[in-house]
Amino acid sequence: MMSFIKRYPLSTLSALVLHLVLGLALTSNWLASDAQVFKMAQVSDDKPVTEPRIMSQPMETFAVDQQLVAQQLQRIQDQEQAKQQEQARLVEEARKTEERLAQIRREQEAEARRAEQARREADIERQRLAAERQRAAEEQRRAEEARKLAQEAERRRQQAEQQAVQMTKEAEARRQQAEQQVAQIAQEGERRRQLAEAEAQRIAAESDRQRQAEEQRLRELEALQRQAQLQAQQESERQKQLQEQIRQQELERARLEAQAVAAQKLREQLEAEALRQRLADEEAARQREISRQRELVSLRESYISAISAKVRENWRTPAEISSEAQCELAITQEPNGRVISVRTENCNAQATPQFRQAAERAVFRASPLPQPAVEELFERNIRFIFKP
Amino acid sequence: MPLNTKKSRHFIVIWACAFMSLFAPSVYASLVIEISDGVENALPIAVVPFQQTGVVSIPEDISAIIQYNLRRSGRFAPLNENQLPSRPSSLEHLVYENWRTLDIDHIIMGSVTGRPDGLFDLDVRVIDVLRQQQVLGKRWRSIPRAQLRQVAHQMSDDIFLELTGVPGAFNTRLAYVTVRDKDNQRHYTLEVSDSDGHNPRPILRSRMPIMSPAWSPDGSKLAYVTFETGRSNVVVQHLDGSKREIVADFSGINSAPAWSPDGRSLALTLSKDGNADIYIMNMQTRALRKVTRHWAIETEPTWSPDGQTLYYNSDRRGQPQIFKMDLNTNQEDRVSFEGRYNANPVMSPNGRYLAMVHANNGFNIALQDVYNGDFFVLTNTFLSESPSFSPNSDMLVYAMNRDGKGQLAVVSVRGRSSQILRIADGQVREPAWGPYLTPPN
Repeated sequence: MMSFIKRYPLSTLSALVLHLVLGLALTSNWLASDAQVFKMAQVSDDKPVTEPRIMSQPMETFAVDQQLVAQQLQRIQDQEQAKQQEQARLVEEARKTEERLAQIRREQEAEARRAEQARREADIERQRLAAERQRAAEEQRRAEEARKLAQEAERRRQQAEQQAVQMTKEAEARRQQAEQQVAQIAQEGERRRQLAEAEAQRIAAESDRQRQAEEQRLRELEALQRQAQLQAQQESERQKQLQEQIRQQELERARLEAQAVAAQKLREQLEAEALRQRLADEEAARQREISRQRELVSLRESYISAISAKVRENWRTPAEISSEAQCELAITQEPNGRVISVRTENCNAQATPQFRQAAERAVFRASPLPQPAVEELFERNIRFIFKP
Repeated sequence: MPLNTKKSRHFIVIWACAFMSLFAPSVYASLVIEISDGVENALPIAVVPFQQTGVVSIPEDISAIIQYNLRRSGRFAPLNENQLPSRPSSLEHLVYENWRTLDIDHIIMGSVTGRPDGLFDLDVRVIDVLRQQQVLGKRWRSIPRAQLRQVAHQMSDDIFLELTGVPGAFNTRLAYVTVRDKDNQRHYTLEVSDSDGHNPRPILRSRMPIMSPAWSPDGSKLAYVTFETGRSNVVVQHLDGSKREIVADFSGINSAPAWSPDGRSLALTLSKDGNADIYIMNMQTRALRKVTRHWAIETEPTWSPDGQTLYYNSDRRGQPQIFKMDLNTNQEDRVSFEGRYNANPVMSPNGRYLAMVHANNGFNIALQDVYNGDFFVLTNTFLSESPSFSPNSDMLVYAMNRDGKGQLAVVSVRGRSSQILRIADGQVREPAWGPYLTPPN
């Protein structure tokens, strides 16, 4: 051995290493597989126990949902109402804006009328100024006539001239003033007109703006309406969804109800089962009792028939007996089955004295009579119909 | 009917001899009875030897006679005397348990008292062992010695009736013909004995055959066929010896006499008109009524118990078969259908069975149940013939041939037992079972 190792140290070493490796591999493998088995066993032990579900909760959930749905419906209805109110309010506002626009228009018209009036007044002033100018010319001519007539008049005229110059000056001033005034009035009118125009423009702009705003508002309203519609649609959608939801809920409810019913049924079934079981148990007990009774009865029957059979076994007679002969045997026995007495009773016509005596003898010969299977079945007085 | 003087004298001698023999019963050799077949369903019974008291020794063993009778009936299996546990003489001494353990149902016990005047007092009682009761008790007073056996038979009848409900047929007689060969001569003797074969008395001796004895219903007369005139004739003989007369001596066959149930008529077979037919003879007027009118042989008539129908044998179908005729309507009907040969019909006294000789690998006695038509062969002996019922219809005696020797056999109609009646020194033939000596109550 040692010489072998010495001769092949490498081979021996490698063989040793190989064995070690193999050994390790096998051991770990076995351990691993063992652990696996153990784990699996544990897993299978961890199996949850199925518990019967309590079925009252779904019923409660359903009740809450109903309320919620009602509330939601109420809320939706309220929202709808608010929206309608808003819409009404918007419409009212639009109406009011229109009214205001009409007022502004009326005011513009009144302004225009007022500008026209001013223009007419300025015209009247101008006619008045032209008439004055005629009158001034007339005056001049008169002044001249006066200058001519009187040098005095010249003075007068000069005076008048002066006067006239003065007057002209005055008139001029007046005219200028008037012109200025007309210009002023025209200017004023223009301004007024401009103002009115601006105002009208403003008003128009305003109304435009207002209209635009109105339109905008209308658009908004429309949008709102659309939105409302959308909302309504959405609402209806939602409602539909809700309906769907309700339906689903209904279905769910129905399902739950069905489940509940099923559960109820199951419970009832279980209860019924339990009841049945109980009844069955009772029945079984009763049956047991009955069957015990029956068994007793049948045991009694077999007891009686055992007695009857033994009597029949012991039946013998030298007499010729009709096969139709029969009697009731009334036997009195001791607890050990020993016959104390026997009587034949209710015999038919075929039962001759020989038959009756032979039957009684058979009973005595059969003594002791067979014991019952159950002690309680023992009857001191046995009675059965005997037919050989 | 005139008889020639020689035959008449001969006849008288025989008759006188027979008459005398009635008074000397013990002289004559008895029939020996063998109870041949074991009886299966026979019930154990104990017949305790009767207590004997009084001053005179008792000449008859009464209990033995009873025991023997019961055994013969086939219904009882009496214990042998040595098997009895005790010999109680009264109920007080009876230990029932001892008898019960022997599987005994009934004990028969009694006593015989020989009185100083030579007469006997007897009593018998039957005890039911299981019910522990006496079921029968009877007394006989002042019985002469010669009637002790008869009293024993009467007791047997009473016991039998008590236990079976059927009247016994022990106190009855048999008539039969013995044939003895003596000094190269054949001697025929018509004899009458008790039913147990005891007490035989010759009625008629003849060197010519004697056939077909028939008892009158009251048991006072026998009709039979003799050949004393050289041809067959029918004789009626009073058993008290007072009268004997040939009633049918017609040309041809005179045979097969059968008394009507009322005893007023005798049916017989005559061939006086050239062909054997059945006739009925009025015994008072001797008037004949021809019953059958057929070219075939009709013979061996037997009466139904009501006397309204005759059964007879006819070979009109080539082989003998049983026919019957309604005597009111003359309607004839065939009765037997089993086998090729049925002859010698005999109606049982209760009207139920028709016994006949049935050929089936030899000749046997068969019974046909008149009520339901059942037919069964009763015997398996050789050359059986001449069946005759006991008056209680329970048994049947017939002639048979064993080892070339004629013997009588008795069987129960239910085949329960059979016994052989034979004589040591000859043959026995032509049995006829007589009626009740004392009609059953």
